[in-house]
Amino acid sequence: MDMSKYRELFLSEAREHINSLSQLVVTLEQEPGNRETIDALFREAHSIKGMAATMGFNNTARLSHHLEDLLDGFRNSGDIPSVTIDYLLEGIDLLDGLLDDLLDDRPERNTEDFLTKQPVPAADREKKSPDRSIADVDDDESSKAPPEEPDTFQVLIELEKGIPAAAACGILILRELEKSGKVKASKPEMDELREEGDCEQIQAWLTSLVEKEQLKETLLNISGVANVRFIEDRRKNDRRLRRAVDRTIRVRTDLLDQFVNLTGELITHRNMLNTAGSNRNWDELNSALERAGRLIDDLHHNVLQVRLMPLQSITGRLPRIVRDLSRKSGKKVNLQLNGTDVGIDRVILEEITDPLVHLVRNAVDHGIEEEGVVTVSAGREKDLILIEVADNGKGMDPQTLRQKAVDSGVVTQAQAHSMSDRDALMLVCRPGFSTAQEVTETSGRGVGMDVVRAAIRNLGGTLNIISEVGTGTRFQMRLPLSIAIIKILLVRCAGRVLAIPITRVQRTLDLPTSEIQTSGPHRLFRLDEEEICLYSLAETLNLPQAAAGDITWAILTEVRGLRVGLQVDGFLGQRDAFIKPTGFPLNLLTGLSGATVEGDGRVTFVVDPQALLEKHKMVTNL
Amino acid sequence: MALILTYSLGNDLYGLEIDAIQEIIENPVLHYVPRAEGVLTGSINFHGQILAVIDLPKLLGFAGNQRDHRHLVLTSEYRSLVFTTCGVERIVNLEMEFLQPPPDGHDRPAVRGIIDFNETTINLLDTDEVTKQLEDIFAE
Repeated sequence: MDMSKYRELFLSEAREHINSLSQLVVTLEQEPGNRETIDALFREAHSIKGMAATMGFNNTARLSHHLEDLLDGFRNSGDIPSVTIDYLLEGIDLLDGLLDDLLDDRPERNTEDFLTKQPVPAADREKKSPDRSIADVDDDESSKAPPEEPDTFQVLIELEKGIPAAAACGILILRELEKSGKVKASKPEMDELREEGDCEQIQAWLTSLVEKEQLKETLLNISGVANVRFIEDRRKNDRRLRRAVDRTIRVRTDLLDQFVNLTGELITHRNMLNTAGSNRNWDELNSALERAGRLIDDLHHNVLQVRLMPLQSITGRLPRIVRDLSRKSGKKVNLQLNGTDVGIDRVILEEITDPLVHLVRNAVDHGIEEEGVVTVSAGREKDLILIEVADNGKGMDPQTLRQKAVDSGVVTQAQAHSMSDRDALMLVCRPGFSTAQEVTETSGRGVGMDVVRAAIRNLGGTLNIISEVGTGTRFQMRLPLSIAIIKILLVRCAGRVLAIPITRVQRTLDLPTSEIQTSGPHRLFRLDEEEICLYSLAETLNLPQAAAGDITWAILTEVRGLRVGLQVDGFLGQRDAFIKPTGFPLNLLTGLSGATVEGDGRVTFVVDPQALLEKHKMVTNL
Repeated sequence: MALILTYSLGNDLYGLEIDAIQEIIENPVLHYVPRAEGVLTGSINFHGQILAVIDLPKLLGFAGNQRDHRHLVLTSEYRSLVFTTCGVERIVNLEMEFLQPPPDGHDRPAVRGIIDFNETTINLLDTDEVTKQLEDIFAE
């Protein structure tokens, strides 16, 4: 099968993973022992490994596998020595070089030297570090391939009071600074020091690669120096982190032509609106507005088209993955793809590529025992896309999962006991949880399912696991069609207006208040012969819930597989809304998925009822 | 030389580089933010961007309820935060060479450095510290 058309996709994705690898290693260097970062690093390496193996880029796959192994060793201790950090960075540079080779159609460069080299043991390194001088650092620097960007900072050196020949001391300090980097400015300047005899402190702006602690040590060794302090110019660092990634997209020319046409029509309509407005001709104005509305709908449709890509573009490589996997494991696995011509927003597609591959690998590795069928099917389900990865293998036993979770310390015995079967199945999505007895190249290290779930959640989708022992397992991803424009239901809540994504609402309810029963702290109502708990949206937001009249309004939604009602004060209709991401720190608030601006400039926030209910911990009381 | 906007927090004078400020807006319409409490007083629609309004004196633990109606909108480099203060003073032109690190025992919160101006001390706001505190509060 021809993989060349996926090469570009691989290259851009791998580059992204490598970029985050380097960022994470740097983060780790600043906060050693941060296990989350180690886990994240591990996942990145794991992703590259999987993708490279699929594409048949063996050196890249081996190198990332090697890095992954290395990181795996530190996952439990949660502590990576600095020598390993260097080694990791070297490995990441090598990975980057490999990608360059692939990009330029060269054979992959040799990785053997790196793979057989071991990082210097931490103990040796510690012995060495105290007498590291600036000269040592310079040597290190020249041996590293890509030089780091030097840091600019401000240093303040205070001299001891009343020392003789303070100016001479000042000159000495400035010379020392010049040795370690570029002195951009200083106060006083070298010339001033030469002329005047007095000096109490020296302030300098220095661009240097030398670590501050070392510089401080060196400076303190100069006699007469009382104190050395640094004032950071953090803005520069921030700017460096914010380097944006350019993304490109291919658009069919006929689609572009349609954009030009639509824009032309819109311009004509603006003129009609202007004329109608200045003539105060309401009939004309109304009809022009109506027409403009239709044009905007067309434009919206076309914009979405640009963003849509068929699922095929990522499922195309699945057959190869399954083939290689079956060959390696000696299993006989048949892959079936259904409905993969369905169009999905580009961003969503990019984000679900890894999760989808992972689910398929899991199905082959853990689902199928010797022989079986893995089915990937996709289709529209109302405003959602449903993608399902199913196998007809051995299935998962909730009881085994509970035990496993208790054994690996993911949950306590009591928690496991009170867990529903459905929740028990979801345990496979917990970090550090793995059901595989042995580690294979592709899966079975408890990495992956947590990434899968997080990726789906970030897109505003849901993951559902259905499994029966002996029959097989189905992983269902439900994803929005587009993440920018969604259908929302506007509700009133404690005097405010809030929006709920329609995809989160199964239906709206108007319940006769008299039929709502109270049982302890819970309120219950009957629907389709089922008792359903009723919560209050206002209470999840720490707002007072107004007493309902004869009718209690609520939406029916689902939390962890349970149907629940969420009381609101009224419905204000539904509409399409352009969802804007919210700025910091609003983006940190659980249950807020964005905001939309109304025609009059008011801001309406979009809330995720499931996240709110989970946050409010009300559902766990059930 | 650098232009610094000075403003009061409690009885102290703080400063922020003009370069860090995108706009100063008077009496913006505050929109309700679900689950917002404490230092997050609401959000504003700033040319289509939805930004969080932070009660800076409250965040940094200054007493008193007086707030200036002028809000400082920071640039995107400073995550487009919007600050309310106890009182916006004026813009001064300062020699940044005189900026000193806060001396030991300086107990004012979130200060990147201090600089004397007309016998008053201007505390230059450490925006990183503010961001960090917000992260600590809102990260869940």
